[in-house]
Amino acid sequence: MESRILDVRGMTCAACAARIEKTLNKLPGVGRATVNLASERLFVEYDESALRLPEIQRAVSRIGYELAERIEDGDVTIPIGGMSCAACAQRIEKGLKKLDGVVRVSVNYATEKAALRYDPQRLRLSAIRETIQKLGYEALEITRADAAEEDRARKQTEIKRLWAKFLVAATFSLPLLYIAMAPMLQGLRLPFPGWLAPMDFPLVYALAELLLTLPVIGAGYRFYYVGFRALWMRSPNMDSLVAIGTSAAVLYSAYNTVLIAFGQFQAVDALYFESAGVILTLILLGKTLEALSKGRTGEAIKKLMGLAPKTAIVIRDGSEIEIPIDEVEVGDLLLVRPGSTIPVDGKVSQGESAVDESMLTGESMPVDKKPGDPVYAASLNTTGAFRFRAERVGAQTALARIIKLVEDAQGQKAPIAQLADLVSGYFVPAVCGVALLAGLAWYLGTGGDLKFSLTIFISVLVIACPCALGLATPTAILVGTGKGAEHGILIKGGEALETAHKVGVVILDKTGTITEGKPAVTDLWPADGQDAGELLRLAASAELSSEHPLGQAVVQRAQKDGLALEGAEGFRALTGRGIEATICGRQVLAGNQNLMEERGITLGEMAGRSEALALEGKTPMFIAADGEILGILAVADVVKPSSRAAIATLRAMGIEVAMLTGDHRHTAEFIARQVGIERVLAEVLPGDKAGEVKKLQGEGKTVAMVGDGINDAPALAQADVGIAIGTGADVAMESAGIVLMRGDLTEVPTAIELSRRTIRNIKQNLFWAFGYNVIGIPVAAGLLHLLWGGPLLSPIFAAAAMSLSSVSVLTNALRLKRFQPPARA
Amino acid sequence: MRVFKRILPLFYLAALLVALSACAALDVVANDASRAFGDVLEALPAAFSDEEGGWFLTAPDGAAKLQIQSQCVVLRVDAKPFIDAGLNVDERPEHNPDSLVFSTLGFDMLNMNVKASAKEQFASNLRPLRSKLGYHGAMDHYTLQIGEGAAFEWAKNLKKHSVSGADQEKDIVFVLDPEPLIAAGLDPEKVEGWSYAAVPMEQDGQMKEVWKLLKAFDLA
Repeated sequence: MESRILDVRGMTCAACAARIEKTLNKLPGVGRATVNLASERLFVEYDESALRLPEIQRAVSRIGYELAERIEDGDVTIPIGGMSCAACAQRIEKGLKKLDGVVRVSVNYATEKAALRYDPQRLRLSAIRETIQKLGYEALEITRADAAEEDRARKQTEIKRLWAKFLVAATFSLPLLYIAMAPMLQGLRLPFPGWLAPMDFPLVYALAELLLTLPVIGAGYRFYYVGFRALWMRSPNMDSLVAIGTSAAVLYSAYNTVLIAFGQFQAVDALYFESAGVILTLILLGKTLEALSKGRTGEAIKKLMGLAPKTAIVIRDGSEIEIPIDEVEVGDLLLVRPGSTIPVDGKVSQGESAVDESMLTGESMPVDKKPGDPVYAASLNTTGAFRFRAERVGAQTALARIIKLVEDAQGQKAPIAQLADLVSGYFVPAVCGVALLAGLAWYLGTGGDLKFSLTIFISVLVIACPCALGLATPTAILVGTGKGAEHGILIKGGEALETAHKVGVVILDKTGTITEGKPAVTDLWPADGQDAGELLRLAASAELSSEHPLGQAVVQRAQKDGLALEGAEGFRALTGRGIEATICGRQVLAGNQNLMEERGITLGEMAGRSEALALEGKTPMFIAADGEILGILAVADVVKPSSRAAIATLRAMGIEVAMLTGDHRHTAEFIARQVGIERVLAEVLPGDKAGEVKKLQGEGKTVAMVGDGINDAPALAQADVGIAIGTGADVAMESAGIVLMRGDLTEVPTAIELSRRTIRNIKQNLFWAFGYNVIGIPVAAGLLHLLWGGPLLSPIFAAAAMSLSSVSVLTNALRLKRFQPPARA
Repeated sequence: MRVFKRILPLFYLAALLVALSACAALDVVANDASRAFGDVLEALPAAFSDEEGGWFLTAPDGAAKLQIQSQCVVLRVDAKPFIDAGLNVDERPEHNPDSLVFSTLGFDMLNMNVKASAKEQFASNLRPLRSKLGYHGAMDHYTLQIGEGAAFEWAKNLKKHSVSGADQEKDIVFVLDPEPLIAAGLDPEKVEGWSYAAVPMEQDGQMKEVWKLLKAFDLA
């Protein structure tokens, strides 16, 4: 199955999105098609052997929308110098087509540019440039098409276009509204030209209204084009409602204008031009505000996209050259100066510095970098200059993958969206039916009052708001997932986001999740008369040559404490027992009780201490020199500093926390006590972790599993919500619905709280969206008037309410941008 | 160019307002009012008077006359029933014991020469008097305000109300505002041949009952 993300153009409401989904899901070969109204994107999975992309595009085009391919990582435009005729362009095209990895190429002689799509995995950009040079032409500095930039520019143009249309509409509809209302409000003594008085100059008055309405119709022609076209295709949408409602008003008024021209002056009382004009203006205003708000919902992702610098400094033949970031290739040696942003992912090869990776992980403290350490694109170098070797560029960088992950998530629908989707699919035809029935009923009920029944008909059509229904869920998810990304929380889908708010139990894997996942020296117990520093120095000097994780932990602690280590002679690893080495002439032993007993070393009170340390889940290591016990070092996997606070926050949020580990129960319980966990699932084999999750689910609880290792992947997949620690294995991240970029538990409560807030926001949005329609449509249909002579809803107020509904839903979703993580307990 | 594009809608707006206000053909009320007056003249022919100058449309009972002069329309009403009802003619501006005179232009402009037919002259007069001409929807009447609250109304259709379809029983109506006459001593309920009635009229955007002295005739 091939899966693609495509831009959809021409959608106006949820009914459009539903129509596209329905059409595509019917196509043979399509596995799944999902349209996100808020991001205006189509996510489609299809069988390439049964269906090609142009066929999908044609199917969508037939129902009145346009699918545009998104610019991919392998899209590049290379300006070419030296072409003298069209034959040159053909020659270059032919030459480039021969390259393995070129998907398509088009060389334009007029613009002197070659537009290519190629597979970066199979072909290097430098090879493309080389080929052009070999053909006798000059490959100039390239510009890679930027999807985000293009998207932003397109949206800006759309906003400007809508704003201009609104201004034109407002310029004409304001005087239109004035001349329509002023004669009715004579008590206010509003200035009004006598030559336009409706009863004295009815035809002039009607024509003035008509001529003021025409430019407004021109500004809103798209509602008619799209609306009637959708109606013709039997898939009416919001535009259809606007088009029918305002057309009815304009046509009826035009008919009355003709009557006036033929002497029926009373028809001047039945002009509705101002209703049509003001409805169109208000809806254009609503659409403009909607476009503005929609643009803001994706700001988090745009912010991420804008983090990568435009250029990089590459070291070539010993000199520093600034090149566009698109020309950086894997293997290039790059220089990063203090204060500059790291352009691509790679590994430090020279120099040291501290790097602020907060934009990726949410961690505010800069991370120290030395040769061998990984660095990531878009992170900010703080103090020192360093060189690093590029390992991942373009779409392969961690930043690009994060963006893709979030974009994918934003395209998926949460189960909560299904109700809105279902309703919006039937909404518009139902509203048309209700409008007709209400109009007809009032016409018959009032003994043929066409004016009254037409008011009802138009009001029902224009107050109905499928847009708010369609926007309720995706806008909140857009903002919620974007906000998550800002905090280093990658939510991979609407389902994970929705389920996380119901989580009752969080199961935490121990190793690597609650703890650091690597041993560290936790205790130093020198024997009587011995010095703790000397004990550590001797042990670390002996372990210097050891590759055992316990030995490395001892060395790291000594280095951290700034101890000067001695060179070891005669180092020997004693399998299963420890090591021995000679340090400054002293025969040093480091190992377990068996080793000490084997060498006849008296342990004394150290034996008791060893037992106590073992009970705490620590590994005791005896250190002896020249046959005399010097003391004990204890090594253990230590709890991450943030774990206790994170777990306390989860509990304060009313969430039960459990720990899952394969460790011995004593060790597990000791760690659990340290971090405040009461429920411990210990001695669980890797293969049984998923089963333990299932057991808890069997208790009727919604379970979130937090882990980092390959062995956690099945449990992450089994849990209702899998949360992977981002510093862990790739498979864990693939199995999880949520990935935390920071390597600790701090963001687990943040992720759950974000989910709670997002779902609450979606529910509020749906409440408003449904509420507008449930209350507005009956009022517009004249129910209050029927029941107790209550008020009717003017079509103008109906249009204002309709526009407000979408704007209020979007504004509510934007409130999520103010989200703050829960207070640490 | 951008500035021009921005102000283009305002040009359009101004142009359409000028065009609409200047186009006489669009004045359907004035045009149809002339036609309807022609129908009245067919049912009740006007007579020309060299002595008094202009055309006279005399009420069937002879108690009121509509005088059509060049640029001016005058309503002359027999003063006797009003004097009998207490009117002190000395308090009237015309000080005329025979007629109460109401004019669209005032007395200084009377007795101008008329050469056209009554219908042509009336239609011609409606242009300068356009601001005094209106359409009374409820009655389906055209109304020409003559002065001092006096008016002459004539039916759009002498036979039927053009909206309701009911028989039109008031083809022409002479209307006087009783207030200045009451101020001159008139008891409005005692004027013989005139009815003192509350008429629904639109004032300040609302329909109100206004008291008038009326003399209506069914010509068809």
